[in-house]
Amino acid sequence: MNNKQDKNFLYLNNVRKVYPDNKTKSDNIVLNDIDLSVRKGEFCTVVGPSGCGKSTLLRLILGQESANSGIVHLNNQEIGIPCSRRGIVYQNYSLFPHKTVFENVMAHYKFNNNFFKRWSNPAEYNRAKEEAMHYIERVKLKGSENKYPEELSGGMRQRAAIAQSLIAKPEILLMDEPFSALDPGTREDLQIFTKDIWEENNMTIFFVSHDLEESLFLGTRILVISQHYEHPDSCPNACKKEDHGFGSLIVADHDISDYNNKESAKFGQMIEKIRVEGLDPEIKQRIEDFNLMHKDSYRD
Amino acid sequence: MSQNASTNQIKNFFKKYVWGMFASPSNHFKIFLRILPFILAIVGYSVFSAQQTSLDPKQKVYPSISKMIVKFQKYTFEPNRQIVSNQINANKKDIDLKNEEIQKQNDLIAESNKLNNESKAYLPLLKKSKENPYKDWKKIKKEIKKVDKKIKALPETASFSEKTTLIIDKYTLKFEAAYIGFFNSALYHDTISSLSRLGISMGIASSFALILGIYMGTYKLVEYTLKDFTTMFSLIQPVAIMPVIMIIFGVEDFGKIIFIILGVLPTMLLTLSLKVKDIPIQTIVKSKTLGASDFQTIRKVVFPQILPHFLDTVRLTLFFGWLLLLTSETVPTESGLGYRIVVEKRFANMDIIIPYIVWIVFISYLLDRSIAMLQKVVSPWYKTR
Repeated sequence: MNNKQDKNFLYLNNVRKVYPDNKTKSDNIVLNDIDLSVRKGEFCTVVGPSGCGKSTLLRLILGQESANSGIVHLNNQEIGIPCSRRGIVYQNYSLFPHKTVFENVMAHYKFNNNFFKRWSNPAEYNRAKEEAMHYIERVKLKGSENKYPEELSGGMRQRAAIAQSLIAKPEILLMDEPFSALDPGTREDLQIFTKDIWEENNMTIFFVSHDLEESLFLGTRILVISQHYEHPDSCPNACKKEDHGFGSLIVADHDISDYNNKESAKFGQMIEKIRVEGLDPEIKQRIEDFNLMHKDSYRD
Repeated sequence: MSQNASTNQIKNFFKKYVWGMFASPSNHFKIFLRILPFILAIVGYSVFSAQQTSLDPKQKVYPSISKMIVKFQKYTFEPNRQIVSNQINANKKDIDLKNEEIQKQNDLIAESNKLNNESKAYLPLLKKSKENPYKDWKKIKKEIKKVDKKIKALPETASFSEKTTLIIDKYTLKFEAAYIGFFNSALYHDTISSLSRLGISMGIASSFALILGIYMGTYKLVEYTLKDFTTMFSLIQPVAIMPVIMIIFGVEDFGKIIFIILGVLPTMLLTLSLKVKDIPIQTIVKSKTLGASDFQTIRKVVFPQILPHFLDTVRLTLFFGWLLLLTSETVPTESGLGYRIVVEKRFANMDIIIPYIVWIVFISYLLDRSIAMLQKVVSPWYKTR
């Protein structure tokens, strides 16, 4: 029982998301029939061509939007509106601009405790303060705790955002292209840092990125989502109109826990493979040929 | 257990479609919400006018809607009497030329008589304004000093009555002095009454706009209900309905304050709701993932972020507020900066009007600067680019 619960920690079944298109008065299908289960403790990364609905999938798990049909469960409970069970780190605007770094990290305590608790229970307040300082130290931001986000560099901002999310101890940490706006050096630092933190805290991370190399390096499992596949209903060649009409699917699912060396030949081969499977719009697979060989993947 | 589940379901449905930051009302519900305030306004007005008519059948301030429609039809489809009669008159022009000339002369005489009478009515005011309080103030100060010297120069043997008369003299002088000087001047009274009108109305309008604007920007339900109605309301020019407002609420301070509020509120509300929508949704979602309730999100995330924009909005709207204030003060009262200008205009006293205008500019500049400084103090994180 426990094992099964661990296996279906994040559980999506037949999830479908449709946006109404006001221009053409028709529905624009983004996600079509997503089946996914993620094990507890997994570092699951998601890649796909732009516009395939990676961020939409993340928003569904977050609860910011709701699916048109299907089930989204986290730890056997239905997903409601965003709550403290999930943490999120965005590409930008992750921090509250009107709070200093320290206040940003303390936000979780402030939201969950009465304003007067600071005086009625000073011991607990001090403990929360110490914990916040510990996290700030952990993300190497000691000395800048009284700065506003505006005054920080991009990398520092993302580190602060990670600390801010971690202190709430979420069941799953969602990351929406967190390093896309950073320069290559800082980016590499933060990748190693994220991996360290994941190993330390034994967390579940759901990581969305358009950078294939980054996803492959970080994750233990990679999901490829794409709208470029051959649907049985689609007409054979010419009609381009129906090209994107069926919504995205998970087209590949790999175990990548041993792909840690960016220089190795295996790594390069995997990148090429995923590019062919999902990212290249010219190459289209049939649904039967999808590589869903990961032990947790399933299709109804 | 099952009951609990069903209440939970209802709660979830409510949060998903009706009330909540992430709720999205269905299309039919949206249309209903947008029409709702208009229906409410029309029904409310007709009930109110019917009640007023039952109290006083001859009242003309709150006409019923059917009455308005009949009158409007008359004005749309019947010939304009003024123009038509003018045309008829033009045809008769040749015949009545002489009569008209006589009429014109009579009119001129009547007008000049009227002007004379009017200026006589303001004569007492003129006399008053000729008195210079500062001159008197200096005189009295000198006299008080003289009395002080006398008191000091009194020998120790002086009688008690001598001393007391001098002291009483001093205090009567001081008493007189209390009624002159800047704090009893026309300028002071005008400034205080104008500023209190402006301050009270801007305070009420901006606090309403802040609260409603935040809810309009965050809750779809409130947005759909209020947006169209406020847009329509902001298109009603307040100056056009000023007479009506003055009839309903009176020409005193209350009427003027209501006038300014009605003029300022809709635009302020729309601006603020747009500013709230500009706040990155990421910060709102983030606060929810850190365990904040809806109210906490508004209080601790939306409010501090909107505060500098709010102060900017108040600053910009103040110019409009001044305009409405000076307009409303053309309707005479006791005091007010705009009132003084209107009064002095009748005598073409530019020597007082120009300093008054300079004074108004100075005050509004001070207000503007102080709000800008307040913004720096209240939200130090906000840097104007």
